[in-house]
Amino acid sequence: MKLKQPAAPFERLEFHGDSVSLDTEGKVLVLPTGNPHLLPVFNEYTLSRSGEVLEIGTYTLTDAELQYMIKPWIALYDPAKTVLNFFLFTHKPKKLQYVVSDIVSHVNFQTADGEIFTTSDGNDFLVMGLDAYITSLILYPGNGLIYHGQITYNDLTLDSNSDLIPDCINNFSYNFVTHDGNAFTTSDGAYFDFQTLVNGSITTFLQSYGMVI
Amino acid sequence: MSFQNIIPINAVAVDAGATNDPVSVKMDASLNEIIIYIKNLGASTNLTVLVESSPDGTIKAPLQTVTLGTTTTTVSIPVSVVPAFLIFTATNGDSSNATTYSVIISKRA
Repeated sequence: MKLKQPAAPFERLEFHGDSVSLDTEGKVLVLPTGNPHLLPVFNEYTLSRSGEVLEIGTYTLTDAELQYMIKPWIALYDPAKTVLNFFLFTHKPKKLQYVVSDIVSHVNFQTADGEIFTTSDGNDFLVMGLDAYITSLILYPGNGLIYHGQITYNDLTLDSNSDLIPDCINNFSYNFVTHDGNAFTTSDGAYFDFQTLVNGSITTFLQSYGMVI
Repeated sequence: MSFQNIIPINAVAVDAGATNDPVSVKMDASLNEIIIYIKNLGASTNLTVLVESSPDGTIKAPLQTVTLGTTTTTVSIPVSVVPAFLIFTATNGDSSNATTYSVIISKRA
């Protein structure tokens, strides 16, 4: 099934059978675990794995991995682009597959010192390159439903608090601080935190649906 | 039939590092499907606009959140079921650059 832009906030994925295969073009698959040591290849600490290269193949995740998801959604995006696709599950999935394959792209022929080749008439000299992407996502809803949503986020690699979770999927919380810089604490010494909806993060956005989904 | 545009927010300023008060837009009851366009007109590298739906202008539920910059300046949001009110809240996460933004609602008339 080809993914099209869904209506806001998200649309139900209609399909027959026990799974749906989606045509995708992503680089980073996120399964939120809340812990950098759980599912390090898939958790939201994506900037700690930014140097990893996708290997061609078909991969299957079962309950052994998916049990560590703490939120009922997954996300897929290409850090070089500005669109983040997310999929909401009404029941925590017990199986998930994805396929990594090469996509042909055209790139400029460039020498080692950065000079771009052009033809004698001034056109770019393009060569075909292969780049590995997650080209297919196979979702198994189990006894539940799956919804598809999409948000636009200008910089999918921005990490303003340097916690290795990009802002687009971060869960910001702020200490309540008075004008002179002192942080409020409760009577038992805990920080008085608050969160704002208006930070563009998909995590913050979907938290408000936590009681519904 | 033709397309018509409503521009409820036209080049409204958002100061650097500031969050604007929510802007509530009452929708025409005859509308069914619309596309919301949001455009960052200025130099902010991190402008987040939260779009919420509301039945009465007070109770709010998030509809979409978008974050724009200077390379991704425009976004379109299709809405298949138009609510009674749309509420827009803009936050400029760029502490150095003020900006302005517009909201255009495209409908089939």
